[in-house]
Amino acid sequence: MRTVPIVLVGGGIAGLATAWWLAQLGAREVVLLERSPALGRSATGHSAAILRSASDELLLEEFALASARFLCDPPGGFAPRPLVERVGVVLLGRGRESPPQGWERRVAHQRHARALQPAEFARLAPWFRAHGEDAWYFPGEGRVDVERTVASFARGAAERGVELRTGAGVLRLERDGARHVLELSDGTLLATERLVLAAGGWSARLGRAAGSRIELQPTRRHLFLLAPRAGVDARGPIVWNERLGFYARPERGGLLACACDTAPGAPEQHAVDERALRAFRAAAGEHLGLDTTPDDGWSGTRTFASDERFVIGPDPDVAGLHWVAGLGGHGITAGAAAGELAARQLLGLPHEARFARAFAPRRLLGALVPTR
Amino acid sequence: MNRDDQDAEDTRDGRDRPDGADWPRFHAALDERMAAAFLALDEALAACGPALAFKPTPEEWSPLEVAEHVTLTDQFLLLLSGKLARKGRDRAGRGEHIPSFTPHLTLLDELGSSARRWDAPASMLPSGRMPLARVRSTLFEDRERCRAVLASLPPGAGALADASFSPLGTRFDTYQFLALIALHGERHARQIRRLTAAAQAST
Repeated sequence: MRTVPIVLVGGGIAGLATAWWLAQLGAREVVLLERSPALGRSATGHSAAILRSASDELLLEEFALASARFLCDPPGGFAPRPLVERVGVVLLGRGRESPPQGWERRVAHQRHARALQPAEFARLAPWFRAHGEDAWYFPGEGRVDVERTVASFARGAAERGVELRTGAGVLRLERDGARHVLELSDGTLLATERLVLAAGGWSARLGRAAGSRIELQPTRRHLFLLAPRAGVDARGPIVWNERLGFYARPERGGLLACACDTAPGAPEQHAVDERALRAFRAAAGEHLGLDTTPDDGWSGTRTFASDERFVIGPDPDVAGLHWVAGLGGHGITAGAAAGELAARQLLGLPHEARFARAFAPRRLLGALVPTR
Repeated sequence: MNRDDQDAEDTRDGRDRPDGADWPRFHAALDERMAAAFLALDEALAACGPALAFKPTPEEWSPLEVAEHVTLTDQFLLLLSGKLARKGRDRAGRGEHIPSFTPHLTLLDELGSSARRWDAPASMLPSGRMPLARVRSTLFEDRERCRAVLASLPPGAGALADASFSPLGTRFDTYQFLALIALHGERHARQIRRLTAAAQAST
């Protein structure tokens, strides 16, 4: 049986970013395991590929902005050009008589966002119907080139010695003294003293097998591709109605849209639920003025901790077990920063204590009502 | 929009007729319904005796597996309830208008009809390996978490945030998700009782 110092499980954005940062920061002999035949094909590959930093919680917003800087201005050698197409994000905020939300109060005083007048919003996104909400424009954000981001993390990690193994699912996980022993679907055994779970919706299942009490909940959300239509500028912004829960962005001449639905589900499920499709069509009528059957659709996985904060750090009970999971649909935006924080913690290097505290798995044990 | 307009809009959105919005009373009734549902589950399990592992057919769940499924479903629904409760508290704290009528919980009873059923997703399928003591203690914790979510809401704040729940193709607010936990528990308590009766009849 082969023994390696660090084994990462999960070849999506969280696992790859962690592997890349570990390699950059000097770790040697790191193995990353991905159950699929290719990297970045599960939750990462089924995401809406949106970089959006605004959040009701300042801490999450700051974490997302750190990640956004990485993607918009990648370090030398990572990628030759930005990984974000800055088409802009328009957030529709408060309703007609509602007070501003937390992020609205903040961005009103920041330079990276500005209020849009209704006429300007109509010119930018004539295909989206606002319902009297205030509109905020974030011109520096937009669409992430997910394939290139995944490839850049993978290439950079591999160049510095990380072993990336696809088609290597974890069949069994056991303790052997201080080591975690993994039996893989390719028939091999691996042992490690530091096991990192970055497997999105599969992480909780693996954590339980390792003896952890941390619970994460995988959920599904549907995305639909609407046929090409006149008036949709491919360089147009992503529009997100925060209040009513609906977003859309130009894609292939049409629109990629989401009614922000939630359903339980296993992480390997990508098929469309008929009831979700019906609910989406009703929402598309309300927000896009369309009554049409989408050309395509799928469901992606979002995995949450009970307080919706990320889960990054050492397991409180199981020695040598580390989490980079529960990114709750924010993996594309926050994955790079999550990977850096996890890698610094694993290597015992300086890191931002406020993020480490906020995302520490320990916080999830014992609280009846998760608080922030 | 003035408040009358807002109330009219609420009515169009499928809420009940104006009831004076006695939110404390509504909270108490919902709390009572949740308590009754968890008690029914616990009593049904306690009454199982040797029927705990009884399966009418190999494909069907035993009473213990039914109860494990309830705990797995609760985990998901509590996540949503907690998330919406946070939004509702935030919106109430910012002074958003609390609706002047309480949510239409009878809508949920329609979900009990067979036409609205759906297959449990893989994440909610019981493993069959959860011991009775752990199932019962988990249900107790779920009940306490439901109470805590409800107690964390200022009166009416649970109606200020909702989410599209695609398995049922509709939007639910915090209260409706909490009521769904109770409804789901009630349904499965009845199932456990039926299974226990069937086991006793078969011996």
